Amino acid sequence: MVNDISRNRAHGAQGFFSFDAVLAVIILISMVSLASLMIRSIEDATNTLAIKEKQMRLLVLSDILVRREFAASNNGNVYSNILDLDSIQSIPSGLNFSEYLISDMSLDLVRPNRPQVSHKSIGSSAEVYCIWRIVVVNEDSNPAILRVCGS
Amino acid sequence: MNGQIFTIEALIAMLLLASSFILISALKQETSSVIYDYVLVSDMFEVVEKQYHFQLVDSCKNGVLSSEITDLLDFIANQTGQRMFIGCDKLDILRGCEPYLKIVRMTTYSVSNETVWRRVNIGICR
Repeated sequence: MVNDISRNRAHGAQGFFSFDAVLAVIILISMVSLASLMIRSIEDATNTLAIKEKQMRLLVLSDILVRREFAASNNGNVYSNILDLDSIQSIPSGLNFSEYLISDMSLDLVRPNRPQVSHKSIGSSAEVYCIWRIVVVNEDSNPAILRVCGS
Repeated sequence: MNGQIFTIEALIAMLLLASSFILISALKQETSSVIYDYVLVSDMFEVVEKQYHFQLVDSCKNGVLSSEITDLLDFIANQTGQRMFIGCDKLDILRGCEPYLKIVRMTTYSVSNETVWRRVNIGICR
């Protein structure tokens, strides 16, 4: 009889509900939740990096527009941040900057007390990034703002 | 517990790793928005220097911002929602403006046919 009880106790200590087993399950659950937290953090970091990359592409593109493509030039000299109004107004409709991985792009030139010059508006996409560039328009030498948006 | 996979050390290591991932992603989000503001300030200085160089020189000398530069600051504030400031010599940063991004640039002016360099603070109010 005494031998049976001691055998059962010993058997119970090594069973499914032993201290070690419960501790192992708790630690396992904690590690699984931590692993899922890490995966979510990695996903967030990847998404943030992708957004940042797109914003940087838009920054570079706007810089190319302001300092080269639409910049006023005279006798071979290119004046950065001074916009040639004619070049903006005569942008071809099929303006394509796919090499910068920006699928959809819009340009808006806002001038004080002047009508806004717009080129191609972006649809209501959720991921649209815009950058403001302060420029001078060569027509009247007044400052203006060029808003470049991309998605 | 020795020799097992689920040691306390492994648990602590994973906890530290997870917190470092969270910290890195938070830092990345923080830095991305500042770069556009920096570009805005940089453009602002370039335009002021190109178009309103003499007004800027006078403003720094007199301590009163010229009407042209004031109009430009108002225009930018209306369009972008960003209030900007310019400070140099006698010209103080606008009242009620707490700078959150301040860039120091150099400009020149002439005194008795000599070119003198001047430090200009330009930036965005919080």
